[in-house]
Parts: sequence; C-alpha cells; structure tokens
Amino acid sequence: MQKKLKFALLGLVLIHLAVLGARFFAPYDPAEQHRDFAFAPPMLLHWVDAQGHLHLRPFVYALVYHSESSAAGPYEDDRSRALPLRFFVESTTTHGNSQSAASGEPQRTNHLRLFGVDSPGEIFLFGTDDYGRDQLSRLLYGGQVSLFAGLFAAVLSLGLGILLGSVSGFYGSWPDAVIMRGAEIFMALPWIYLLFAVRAFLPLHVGAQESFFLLVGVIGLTGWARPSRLVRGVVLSAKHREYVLAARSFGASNFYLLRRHILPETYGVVLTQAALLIPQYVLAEVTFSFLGLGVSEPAPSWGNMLAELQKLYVLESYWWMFAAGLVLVPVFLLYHMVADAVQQAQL
Amino acid sequence: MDRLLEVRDLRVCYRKGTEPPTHVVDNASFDLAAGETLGIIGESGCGKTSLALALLGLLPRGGFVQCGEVRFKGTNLIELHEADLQRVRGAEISFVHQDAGLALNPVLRVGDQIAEVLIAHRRISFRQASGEARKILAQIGFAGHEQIDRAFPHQLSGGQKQRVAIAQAIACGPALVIADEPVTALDALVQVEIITLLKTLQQHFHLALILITHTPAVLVPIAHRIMVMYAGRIVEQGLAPEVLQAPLHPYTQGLLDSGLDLLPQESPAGPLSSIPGEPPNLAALPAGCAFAPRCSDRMEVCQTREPVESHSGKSRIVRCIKYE
Repeated sequence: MQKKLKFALLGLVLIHLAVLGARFFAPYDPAEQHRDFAFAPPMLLHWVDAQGHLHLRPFVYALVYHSESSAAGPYEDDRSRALPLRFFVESTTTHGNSQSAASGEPQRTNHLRLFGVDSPGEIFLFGTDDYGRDQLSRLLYGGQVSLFAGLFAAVLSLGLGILLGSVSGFYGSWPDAVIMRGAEIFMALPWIYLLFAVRAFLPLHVGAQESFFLLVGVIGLTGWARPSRLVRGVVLSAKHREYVLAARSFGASNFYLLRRHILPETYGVVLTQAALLIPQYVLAEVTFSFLGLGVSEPAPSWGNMLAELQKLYVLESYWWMFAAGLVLVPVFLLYHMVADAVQQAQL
Repeated sequence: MDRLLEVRDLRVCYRKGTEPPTHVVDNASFDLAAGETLGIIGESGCGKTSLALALLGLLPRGGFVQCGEVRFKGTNLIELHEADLQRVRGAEISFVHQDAGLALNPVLRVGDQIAEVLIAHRRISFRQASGEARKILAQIGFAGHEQIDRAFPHQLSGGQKQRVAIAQAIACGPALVIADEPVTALDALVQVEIITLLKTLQQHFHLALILITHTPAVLVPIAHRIMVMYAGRIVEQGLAPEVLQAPLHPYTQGLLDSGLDLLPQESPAGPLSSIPGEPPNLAALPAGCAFAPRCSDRMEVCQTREPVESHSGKSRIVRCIKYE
C-alpha cells in the first residue's frame, strides 16, 4: 500500500474514532450551557505561569467577565487563578441548563472524560457559542452526525448504484434503457432543490435521530445516478471478456458471472467514488443543517454550528465560530487523498 | 456406434438492427459418436466458431438459431431453457476457447478456476474441489509442478495456460469437448504437445472431441472424421484419411494444397499454392455456389444453381455440382 494512502486512511480513522468517542474525548455535554461564558474565546494552554515557573502539567487561566466595551473583548484571563488540566476525570454532567433547574430536576450522569479542570473552573479550548456551550464538545458530537451522515449516505447511494448499474450493464436492452434514463433525470435535477422539495413534504419538527436518517435517506437516494453510470460502463466492458464467455461455457449462471468475474472489476471505480462521494455528502449534510433543514438544535451538527454565522455580529466578532468549517478542510483533504491514491493504484 | 450428438439442418443467423438476418451457418447436419474426434476446418469467418457456439446456446447478442436441432444424448439442446443448459455446459459438453490467455481470469489462481467448474456442477466443498483440481492438473502434465494450482495465469506459459483451460474443460468428466482453435495461438512444438494431450485424454476418458482449426496439419494425428466448412456451409465431410488424402471438393483441395507438410512423404517439392480471392461476405452471398468465384473447376452452372449434398461411399458427403 502506498504511503499516501496509509497516511490518509490513518488520519480518517483517527478523526472518526475521536468523533465516535465523543463521550470520552469531549470535556462537556454538547448541550450543556454556561450562561456566564457566552462567546468565550478559545483558552490557551500554558506551561509557564506569570512568575516564570515552568509547570509540567499544562494549565489554563480562569476567565473573568470584564466589560462589553473593552477592546480586547468582554473576557480576560484571571492570572491569579490557574486551572491545571486533569486527565481521566470523573465528571458529572447536568443535562440542559446548568444555571437554573426551573424545568424540574436536571438529569445527572457520571462518566469518565479524557480531560477537564477542577470545578468551579471551566475549560473551553475552542471557545463557546452564544449559549456558553463548549465548541470542542459540540464539534466532536456534531461530527457524529455530519461525518456519519456522509458515510451512510455514500454507502446507500453506492449500493444502489452498484445494483442498478450492474443490472443495467449486464442485462442491457430495456432494463438498461429504463435505468439509464432514470439516472439522467436524477442527474439533470439540481439536487439541492430536490432535497428542499423532499424536505418540504415532511413535518417541520422532527427529532435529531429521525432527521439524521432522513438526511441519509434523501442524500443517498438521490446520489445513485453517477456511480450507477460508472459501474455500468465497467460492467459493459467486463462482460465481453473472453473469460466471462469461458465461465459461461462451463455452466456459470448470470449471478455467478456478475459476482465472481464482473463486479470485482468495478471495485476500483467504486472505491474512488466512495472517497469522492463521502466528503460531498458530508458537505450536503452541512449545507442542509446550515439552512435549518437538517439536524435541529440543541443536537449539534457541523452545519447547524455554522448556522450561527448567519448573524452578522457573530461573523464579525467571534472568529472561533468558524471551527466547524475549518474541521471540514482536513476531512476533505484526507478523503481526496484516498481517492487520489486509489486511482493511482489502479493505473 | 451410438450417436452422442446429432445436428440436423442447423441454421445460425445474426441480426443487426433492422437488416435481414445473415445466415452464418446454413443447413449444417452431422453426427458424432462417443469417443470420436471430428475435425472442422475452414478459413476464418466461415462459421466454424458460430456453429460451435450455437451447439451450446452461447451465441453472442444478435445471434440465434433459426431452425434445426442439436440432439445430445437424445435431448434437443436448442429447446432447452437457459437454466437447464447451464447444467449441460461444463458437465456434459464443455468448451476450450481459442486463446487460453484470455479465457482465464487474470486475477484468480488457476487452481481455483478449475475448482469452480467442479463446484458449479457438483455438491462439493471448495476444499474438496481444490484437491480435485490439483489431481486433474497432475494428470494433464503438471505432475512435477507442486504449486501450480496456486499460480496466476500470467505466471504460466502459453502452453501451460492452454493445459489449464483443458483441465477446466475435462474437470467434470464431460462426454463431449469442443475445442475452438486450441492450438492456433501456440508455437509448433507446443501445438504438438497439446494435440497429444487431447488425444491421450480422449482415449483415457472416451471423450468425443470436436476440434476446430484452420490448419489441417493439426488434425492428422487425432481426427477420425473431418468436416470442411465454407461460407457457413459444410462442403465436405468424411473419414479423416479419405478427406486428407483424396479431397473431393475443390475448396478442400485448395485448402490442403496450401498447408505445410501435411503428409510429408507425399508432399511435392515446389512453391506453396494458395486459393485466390477471399471468403465471400456472408450478408451478400453470390448466386449459385458460394465458392464458385474462387473455384478452379468452375462451370457455367455453378454461378446459377446451389449445389446439393451428394453421398459417395459410406460416410462421404460432398456439396459440389461436379459430383452430383
């Protein structure tokens, strides 16, 4: 395996593992609000304190609210209160609003987290949003939605694409005509409007989980056209190979020919398509949630985190709100590296 | 002698678009007994391969059998459904393709490719089938090669690949093997090896063999009977020694004259002769005898009337006006 492919796959696996292990890696619950720290900027990890002493254990300074009109922003570091980073902390999460328990007794859960600070301090390595929710935690939990929506949608559309493409290429005649005209219709439709139209059919308020599967279904079912055409092309050339005819003359059935001799030839194309489609579908989910049609608050997704940027004052003042957009960059780069490496391996 | 295969008035056509279908094989009738070798010779494009493919219902898209029957052990194969044909192919009748290099899947091990033929027809596990495949490979001349079944086709020579293809064909113990130009892509020494192998296998398993070729020389050591095809028609058939030594049809004569050292003791010294012209376009056959424009013994009547079969001797059939 090429170095590049190894590197890209390792990177992707790490990102997906981090996202899957959000309960452990994230310092807070994604919906936990810290109303005293709305739009807190990212905290820096320090090793050297104000007196010039070196600490082996990194620490952050506690934030204090200064004033809304200060040039450096409303918060500033309290140099007298260093909060050392603690690893493998047992943390109690209060779901919902931590400030008031007006809506009844808040639910509490205990579990292990990778890091945290001693209470009453807080740690916001990627800053917070307007409800004082930790951006890092929301990024990790949001990745579960955004990355896996893309992954599942790609699996769905590739599965459909392989099925329809191989039927079309292998049997030809009218199934071919019907499927390919269908594919052309799907390719001619501007998909984003199609998605809007489908979304418009469905109830306005759907739960986070339902909307996740809805997105996967809609994106996956509209995206089969291109992979099916590619698969059809490969099947069309593979079915005329001499060894396919030879296998037929030894009594092989159509299904056997497809499975054993023809579909293996499409793997290269399918893998390349997968590596290209997944980031495309991740972006589709992000776009959707950005426009408020995907996963809705308070459940995080990279799209609805970016939706905050629709407000001009957020866009102007709080640069850390771009975090969800920035994490897309390495994800895309790694997926495209995989696609590139797979394609090179085929040549 | 019991008849294994009876072909009667077979007509194979290709249809392209809305044009009237082209007859690539017409009026083909012949018999084959168990354990007998039939050689089919003729130039490229005279319908040999189409005839062979039609026997097993393997014609490519657009090709179909318009009329006639192919009786194998009493069953008409033309009327069988695809699923039933699949049980016949490989198990009862199998096929050795022209170029073994192309007929083997380049990404699968040769042992597995033989095993798969067995799995397709018998209820055995992959493990058993692999063992069987090894045995078959040893039987057909790979005895010294321990790991041959683990090899990929590109690791084998042309002759070895052809052996593997033959192993696939005989794996299920068929009664009939159709070999379509099995030695055309091989060099002369390997040709002899492969023909010798086929002959050994034929005697060992009592196989009936249809050997298609355009070099009559390869038929000399193996064929019992020979059938000559021209422009989709069988122009001459008879016992091999008779046809080779005393060809009746002018086409057969020309074909044999243009061969190299067919029967060394009798071949005259001097330049090789050839048949002028080229095979006709099957879609636009000339009136009368299809061979007439190239025939050295052409008569007036040849250009107006199609010749019919005439029998001479016990099993000699020739389709030429000269002998009517």
